[in-house]
Amino acid sequence: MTSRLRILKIVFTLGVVGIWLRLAWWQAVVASDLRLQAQLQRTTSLQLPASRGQIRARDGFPLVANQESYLVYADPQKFRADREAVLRLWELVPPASTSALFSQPTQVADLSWVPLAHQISRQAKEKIEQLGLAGLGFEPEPARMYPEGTTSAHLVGFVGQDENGLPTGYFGLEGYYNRQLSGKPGRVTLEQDALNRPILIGSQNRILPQPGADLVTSVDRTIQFIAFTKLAAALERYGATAGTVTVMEPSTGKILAMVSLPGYDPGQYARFPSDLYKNPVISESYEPGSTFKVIVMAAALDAQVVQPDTRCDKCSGPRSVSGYTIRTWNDKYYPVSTMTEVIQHSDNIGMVWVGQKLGERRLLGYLKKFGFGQSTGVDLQEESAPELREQSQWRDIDLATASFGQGIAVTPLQMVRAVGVLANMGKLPTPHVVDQTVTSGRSRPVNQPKLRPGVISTAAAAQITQMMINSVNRGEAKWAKPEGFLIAGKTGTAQIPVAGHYDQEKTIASFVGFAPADDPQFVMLVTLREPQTSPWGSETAAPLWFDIAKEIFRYLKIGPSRFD
Amino acid sequence: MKKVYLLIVVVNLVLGAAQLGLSHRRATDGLVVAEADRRRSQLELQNQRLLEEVYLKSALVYVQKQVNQGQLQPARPQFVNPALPVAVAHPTADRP
Repeated sequence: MTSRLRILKIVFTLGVVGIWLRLAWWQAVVASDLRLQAQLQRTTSLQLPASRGQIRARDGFPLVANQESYLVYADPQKFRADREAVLRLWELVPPASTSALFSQPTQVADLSWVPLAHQISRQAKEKIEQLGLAGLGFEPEPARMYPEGTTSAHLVGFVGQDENGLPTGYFGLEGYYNRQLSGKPGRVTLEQDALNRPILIGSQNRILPQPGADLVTSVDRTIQFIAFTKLAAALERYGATAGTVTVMEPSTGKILAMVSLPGYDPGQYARFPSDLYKNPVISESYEPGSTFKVIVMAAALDAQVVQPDTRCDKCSGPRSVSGYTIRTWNDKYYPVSTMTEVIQHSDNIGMVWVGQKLGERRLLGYLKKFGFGQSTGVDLQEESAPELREQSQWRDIDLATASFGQGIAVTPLQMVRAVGVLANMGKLPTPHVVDQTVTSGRSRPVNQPKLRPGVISTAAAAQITQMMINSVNRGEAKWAKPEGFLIAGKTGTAQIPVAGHYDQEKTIASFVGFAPADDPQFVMLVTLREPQTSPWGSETAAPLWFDIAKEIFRYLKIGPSRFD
Repeated sequence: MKKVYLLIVVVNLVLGAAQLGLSHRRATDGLVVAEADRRRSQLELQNQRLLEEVYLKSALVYVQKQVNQGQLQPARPQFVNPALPVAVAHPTADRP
């Protein structure tokens, strides 16, 4: 009996020790793992995406906003559809994206999530839902909408994905201000029951997302729209392959409009060739041709090597420089013409004479002061600035051709900025697009207007303005000029360098100017690449410039001048 | 001393009962919160859709389309050039 009791005692003791050890195991050794497992079972952690900021025109209207959009996906194990339904699905979702689901079902059979198409609109989603297909699902997905369509594509850029699949801005404002537009995502951790309903007495941790800042730009959507529609019509009318229109307020450097064609749809950028993404106004260099004469003449007037009434004593015929013969554009020559007439006739020989009087050292110094050879500092991604050659590399022929705008490369925005100096009585503006950022209703000004004084004197600016007014009123483009308005401008027709020589057939026609000349409200540059109806700027770019200017006058309520 | 112990026990019992009652009532409030959350999301979505429509229908591109469909003619403004002051327009008028 005693031995049986002893055995029972031992069994009980071992049992108690076993239970005790097991409890110690659960409560001491693996307790933290168990706690974690339990926590994971009932807590859910979600990333709260930050909404991307809008890009607005100066009247507050969004050029870019966010819209409701979906990713449509399939679960191959549950997906069931008859032939008719599949055909109807293909009308809404590109067949290319669903091909794996139908043509290689074995490859996707083990998957439970196959993305079919991104950025599906609400309307398309509703139509897909009406098909009643089993195994299809939708996930909300951020997407951008462009209420004004493609009119500002190059200016705003687009939103694509980075290497981690996160939305990232590329080109234009989306690229330059990506960090500010993106905001910071938040995170919520909360306890949920078996049916995913929140347990209120459970623990919660919520870090709210910080939405991206809205950008308020200086872009006037009416002027932008006018520039876009007029440029599109002009490309067709003149048979040009490409064109740009840039409008800037000279006193502040605010960009009022910037259009480049051919363009692309930023909402469907992947369908367009990638070489269209870059904005030619800031990244494509061209030889400005005769429009550059006003810059060289302004420099010569400032350096006082010429006066408006100074007469050229070597303008009676073609000039030979370093073995090259330089002629005027129409082979007409004007002996002893004044500097005002040199600009009016767009006289290459007269400009070579001016350039030689100025000399390469001084010319180079002025070009740098006008902002050539350096970035303009505009707040747009992908700006590039063609370099100016060092003084030691300049030959006589380089000085001669640069005097009438050939053999020197600039971007359209550099040209607008330089002419802005003339409109601004000698002060160099810094172009910019964004005026303020708005975060949670609070606005913060950015890009305060910056003017660098002393590029040329006020007197020289007034003189060149007068010469440009004369050029518009009496030059080759006078037929297209709107009656009664005081406009300072200059036409340009530049040959395009191809493989070390100039193509005789291909030109870039341009017109640059500002108005009203006595109180400039805007500087505008129009360029047309390879116009077919006429190669001359006076017959293509100038009429387009005046056509746009007329609409801007009406819109900005600018009346005709008394002194035309 | 006995009273203190009794008080502690009573306070603990009351607090325990209160916690139990509160937990019991609040535990089902998750349903209400989930419903409110769903409603909020729905209204936000509706708001977003209305905003999208407002943006699209007040865009110049849309207005232009409507104008073309309605075959409206563009305005043709007439600019009246202001007359020059007499002294400027006729600088030699006072001369013999």
